[in-house]
Amino acid sequence: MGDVRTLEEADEVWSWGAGTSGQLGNGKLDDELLPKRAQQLDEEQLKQIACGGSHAVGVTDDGRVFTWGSNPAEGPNTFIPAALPQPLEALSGIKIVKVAAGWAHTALITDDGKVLTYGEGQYGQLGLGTRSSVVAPSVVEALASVRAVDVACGLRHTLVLVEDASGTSCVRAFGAGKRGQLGVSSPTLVATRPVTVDGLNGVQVRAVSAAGDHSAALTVNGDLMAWGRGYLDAPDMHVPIRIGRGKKWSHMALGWSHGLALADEGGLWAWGSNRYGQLGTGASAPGTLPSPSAQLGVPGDPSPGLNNNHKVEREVKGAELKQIPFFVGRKVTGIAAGAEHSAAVTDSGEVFTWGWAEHGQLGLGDTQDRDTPQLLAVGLSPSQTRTSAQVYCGSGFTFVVLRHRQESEEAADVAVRTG
Amino acid sequence: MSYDEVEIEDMQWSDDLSAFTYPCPCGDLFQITLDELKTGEEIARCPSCSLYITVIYNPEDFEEPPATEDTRIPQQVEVS
Repeated sequence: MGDVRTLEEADEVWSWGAGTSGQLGNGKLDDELLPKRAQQLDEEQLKQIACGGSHAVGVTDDGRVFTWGSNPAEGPNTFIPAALPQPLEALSGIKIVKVAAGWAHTALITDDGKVLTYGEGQYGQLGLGTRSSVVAPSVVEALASVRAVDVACGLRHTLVLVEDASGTSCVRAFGAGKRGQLGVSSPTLVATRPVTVDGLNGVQVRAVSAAGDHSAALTVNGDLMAWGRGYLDAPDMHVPIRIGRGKKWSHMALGWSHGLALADEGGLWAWGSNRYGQLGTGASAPGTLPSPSAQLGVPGDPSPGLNNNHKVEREVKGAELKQIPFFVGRKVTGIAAGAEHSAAVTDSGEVFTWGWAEHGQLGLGDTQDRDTPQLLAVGLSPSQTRTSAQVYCGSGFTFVVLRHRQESEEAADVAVRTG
Repeated sequence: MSYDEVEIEDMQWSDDLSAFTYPCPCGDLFQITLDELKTGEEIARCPSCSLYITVIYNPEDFEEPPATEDTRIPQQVEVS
């Protein structure tokens, strides 16, 4: 007996927040205080959306790429707003599997592990050996001999997680490095070609993240490493430092001055600036729950290599992770951070936002900052019918892709025909 | 309260805006003009939101009227 598919899945793409460059992809050049549909994307079966300063890039399941918002054009520092998603024609025939967006640059990974970059290049953030901006996606030749598996873009820098033929990981970085965001111990203001992030030798990394002037990596062991601009008033970190000790982490998201991390065992934690409430811990209750970073020397810590390195042993001011009490007892499945706001989705398909709201990036209908997570009214379908919800944040805007079961007659017809 | 302190060398000159600019978390740009720098202004504002940054620079660098604009633009990121 084969599976009889009685329901069809469909996507709803919604966006809100700052929109004057077209970054909401809804055909308008306005801010939106409430979620609005970016309907043109509904049919594209998006696998991922990368949101930058004022542009966004979507990748479909079959490797096509759409861009909207502020798009680079010929001429110095020239950007043209696009209010609706457009296929990235230069990539026709090339399958893309992952994308990252910085302030004004974009990096893409092809299905054969190559890295392409385009957009603003003044700080070397394209990794092409120059400080020139580029309109069409260009191959980062310096990474041609390795396979890229993850990519992340900060304000003016780029991280690429690569694997060699044996599967050993290495994190490469290029772009602006003044605040330590490239993770190299020798002072580096700008790297126009990839440099190797120091201090991760022998550490198998599974994901990289970047925003503002800082960076992070997640190891296969679940350790969280951070480098770059110091949190709060702490000194900059020029090499990776382990944060969030005592717990294993499964996901991370970085804002310009804060970070979010999901614990393996469940629970959402945050660190860094809480100036706009972006930690979600509430103004009155920061640090009331145990901080994993305070638990030094945990017995049985399976990362002796990291612990033996005194560079990563010291406490990092501002990087003590605090648990967000609101999510205790809820299962968070996805997280995202904008410049100064945060978002999460749960296994029940619900969407929550908190933090800075001046442009409506929380989607709550006003411009009031919130210091605890707020449930968002978004989506035509009831949250129970959602099979997945994905959330993505740009600097001042937010996207969700809600995938739900469609119990329409048409879907039933399709099921009959294909069943 | 200033959102951040930014050195002038980390700002980008925009011909279109005739101003030094720096990314604002809202997606627009903090801006300060040459004229403002000449008068000792140190606040760069974002035209789209309430945030502003404090610009760190040496006022002497901007006292004399520039012979040409190009020579007045600090070489970004290479200044230590």
